[in-house]
Amino acid sequence: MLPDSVLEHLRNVIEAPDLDGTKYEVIEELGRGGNLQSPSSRGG
Amino acid sequence: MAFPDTRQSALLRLRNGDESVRRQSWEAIIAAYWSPVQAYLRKRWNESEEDAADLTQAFFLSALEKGTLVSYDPARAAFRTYLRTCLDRFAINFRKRDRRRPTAAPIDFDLPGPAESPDAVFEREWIRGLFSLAVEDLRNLHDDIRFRVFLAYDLNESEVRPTYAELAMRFGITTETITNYLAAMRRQFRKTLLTRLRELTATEREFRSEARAILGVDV
Repeated sequence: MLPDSVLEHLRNVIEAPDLDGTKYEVIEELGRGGNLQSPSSRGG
Repeated sequence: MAFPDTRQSALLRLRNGDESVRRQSWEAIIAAYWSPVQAYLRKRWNESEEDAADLTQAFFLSALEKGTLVSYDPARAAFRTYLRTCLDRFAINFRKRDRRRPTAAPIDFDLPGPAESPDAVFEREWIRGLFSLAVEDLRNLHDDIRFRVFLAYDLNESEVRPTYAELAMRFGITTETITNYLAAMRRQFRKTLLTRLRELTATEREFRSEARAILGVDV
């Protein structure tokens, strides 16, 4: 069974915006506070 | 293990005339619900870990013998609500028969306070079970470097995850490839998760409702 930390992380990342077909891409997760995360992104 | 993108509902397959189909359905349901049932028995009915494990086994055995879960009516409630109701009824009757156990009402966790309610425990464990099954499905579908990257980052249990640059060095690929692999695996994981969820719900309405509760978005 997945531990709480991994479960929370997975729920966050699969809820992240899907940027397919846009000029943006997620580079890396920068930080996390509570249930929020701040993905780093850049325009192509 | 390969499986079709749209599995049939295991809840509906419980009524299938083929015994092997019914057995597979049972296995899918038990794999998803064993842990939440056991955790709920511990929390709401104050059972020890050992007794909760025994009771969980007894509950599913009883449900199999009596056809309890086959009687589920999707029009009346979500399956996990129905199953929890059956579980409470089973626990009450079990206590009436077992003189070692008190016959008092279950612990009331509706009082205000920091303690997590039994219902919340059940939901959390149900979600944990569903995600765990989806991870195993994904592992079986993608036994390659993409899954190993997913394992090293998204399934990493340490407090601090490696950076994409560290992963790129470890796997001998670029950070852009790490980004692409993770994005692909997350899309595939979401798809796998929804496939599992579809198997464990009976109707399209229930599936969408549960997906909204778990993912927080409409599907």
